[in-house]
Amino acid sequence: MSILIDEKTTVVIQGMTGRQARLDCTNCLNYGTRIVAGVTPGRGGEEVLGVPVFNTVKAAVAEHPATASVIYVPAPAVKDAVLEALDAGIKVIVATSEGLPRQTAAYIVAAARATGATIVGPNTNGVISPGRSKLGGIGGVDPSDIYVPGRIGICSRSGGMTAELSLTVKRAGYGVSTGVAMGGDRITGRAMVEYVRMFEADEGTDAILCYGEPGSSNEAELAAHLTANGVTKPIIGIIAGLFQENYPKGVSFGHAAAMISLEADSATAKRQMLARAGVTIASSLEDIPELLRDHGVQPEEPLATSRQTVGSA
Amino acid sequence: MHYLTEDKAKQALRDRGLPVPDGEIAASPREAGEVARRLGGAVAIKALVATGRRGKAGAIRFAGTPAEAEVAAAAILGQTVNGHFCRAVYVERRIEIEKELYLSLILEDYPPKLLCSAEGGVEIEEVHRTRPDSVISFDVDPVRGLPSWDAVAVWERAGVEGKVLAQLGKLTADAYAHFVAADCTMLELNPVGIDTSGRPVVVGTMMATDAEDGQPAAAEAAAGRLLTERERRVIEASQNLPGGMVRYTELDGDIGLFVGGGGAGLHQHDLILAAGGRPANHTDASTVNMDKVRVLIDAILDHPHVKSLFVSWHYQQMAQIDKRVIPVIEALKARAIDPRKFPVVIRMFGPGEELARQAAASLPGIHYMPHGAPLADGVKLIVELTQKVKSAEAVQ
Repeated sequence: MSILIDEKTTVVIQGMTGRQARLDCTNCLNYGTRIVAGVTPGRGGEEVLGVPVFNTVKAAVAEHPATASVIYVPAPAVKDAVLEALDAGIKVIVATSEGLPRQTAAYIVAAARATGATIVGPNTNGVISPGRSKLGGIGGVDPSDIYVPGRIGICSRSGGMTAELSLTVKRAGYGVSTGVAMGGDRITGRAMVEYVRMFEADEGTDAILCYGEPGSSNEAELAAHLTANGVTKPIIGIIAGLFQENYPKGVSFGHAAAMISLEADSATAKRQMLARAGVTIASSLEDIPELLRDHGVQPEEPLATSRQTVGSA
Repeated sequence: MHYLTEDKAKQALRDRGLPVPDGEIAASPREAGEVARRLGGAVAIKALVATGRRGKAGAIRFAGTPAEAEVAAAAILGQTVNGHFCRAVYVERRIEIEKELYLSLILEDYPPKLLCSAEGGVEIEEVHRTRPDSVISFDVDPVRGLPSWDAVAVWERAGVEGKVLAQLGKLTADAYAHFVAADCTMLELNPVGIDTSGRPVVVGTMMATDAEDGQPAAAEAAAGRLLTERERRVIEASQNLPGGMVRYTELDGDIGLFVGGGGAGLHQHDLILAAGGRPANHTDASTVNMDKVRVLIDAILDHPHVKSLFVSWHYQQMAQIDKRVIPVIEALKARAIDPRKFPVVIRMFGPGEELARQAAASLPGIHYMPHGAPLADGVKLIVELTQKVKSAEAVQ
């Protein structure tokens, strides 16, 4: 099991004819991701990597039904690309673009929420359900070197840390149900707490790893949810950026930020509020396997061994 | 983040039809006097620096005559206000105000918020602390926008009544339109004054946009100090060379740090401090342009306090790591640095790793971590090796 995507997920690629899109799509197709169509206005009728290209998402999904989309268009075109995907009924949209203005991000997030769709990103390298499917560049050419199938859910504000978290648990014999790089920008399609709730509801996830940084209300929202509803699966939090507190801060510009922040959004404050809400805080990646064992979460049985057991019974 | 000075922020609002008092820039006391004469009557003289808390810093003064305006400008020009050198003042027609309101639009986390209070002015944070109910916070749906009637309802909740509500509703909707169109992250109008004829007028304005301005002045304001020559070099390269950005901030330690700056960069910096090491800098980079990487590496190695180099990004899934490691090796060779005396630890995994390892092997003494080694192992090694170098120096 997994969240967001699995082996049945069908995908359209918006902006598929670009360089980065071709590179990522080659790796995704090799991984088994079911890319059913590409979309680039003016290139309809062509084929890229053996995948048919259409002029619009609507035309693409009319012939090749799809529930997910990955967007590779430049920042100024992202808003329209998202709205087009929503208009065609797409439910999971991976918006890879960096440098999207915050106002545009807020607009597309509102538009997606209104239709019940999820935007992963912006500024993400994607989402992976190991052994089933991956959207975006996540995992690169050899995803199995980093991501192996298993029962740990990962939600990270950083694409790089999604990989490092997965490597850390892989070394200790654990695998990943789904790894989500939720997006490095301040505004993301879904908040950390929403991914945690998806993992809580996922039968294939036994424990959840969350990576956060200074800035954003993600951890405060997660803490509020856990305080109100209780912890149903072990959650291990790792919050970086402690060092920034050692250095001087500039004078604040305006009063509004000081008034709307419920608590300080430093790494220390985030660690404290999550710990109070029942999250186990890891101060280093290397502590995570031991913390998982403390929670009674066992490493995966290697597939070969479990088959043998079944065979000998 | 880009913070606009008051003249630019107010001109933008004026262009959008908001009621903003007349005002002009002056770069000398004489010019300030002339502007005051043109505006006629009383004026406010304010330091033209993009920072908050100017009033409390003594950088806002009032004058009844052009002669007084000259004196006030002379007192402000050349001052340093919250770390910003004041080269000019903003001279603005003074408006008689009967009441001060607070209006702020802010987009930090989702969704954007409108904050309104009938008790505006410099003490707004104190008002909010003692009587939080007197500041109304309203979540704006970005798709719906902020129509004037929504704003009227918010001002009504803030306790404003009477004829001014209609004008305030329009002013707020117009401000929101600019907030969105100009990609603002914050637009604070404090105070919005109610003049003697009962009309609202924008007296205080602070505007921030999320444009990456990349100017040294912005970096200095963020750092709260002047930039070093090395930091300026990196900013220049980041702006002028193609492909991705590079950032470099100097600190007071001795371990040169070349990290990607994302999550793994932050985490490693924390781990170095926890292990007793002190980074000489922090970096942030997204480029694979080797010339650009080289400028960054040169800056790191030119720092006089640097005693070692730690090259460690997160496992690269898409970018070629050889394009980041080869410039490091070239820079070390160009300086005839001997890694047996100046420790160099590399933890770089991903596409191009073989090429990167070959390049590193051409310079004896470099520690290239085995493939897949934990991030903390690299941290431990660089801290330990740096400590050894320092101990050896202390003995000599």
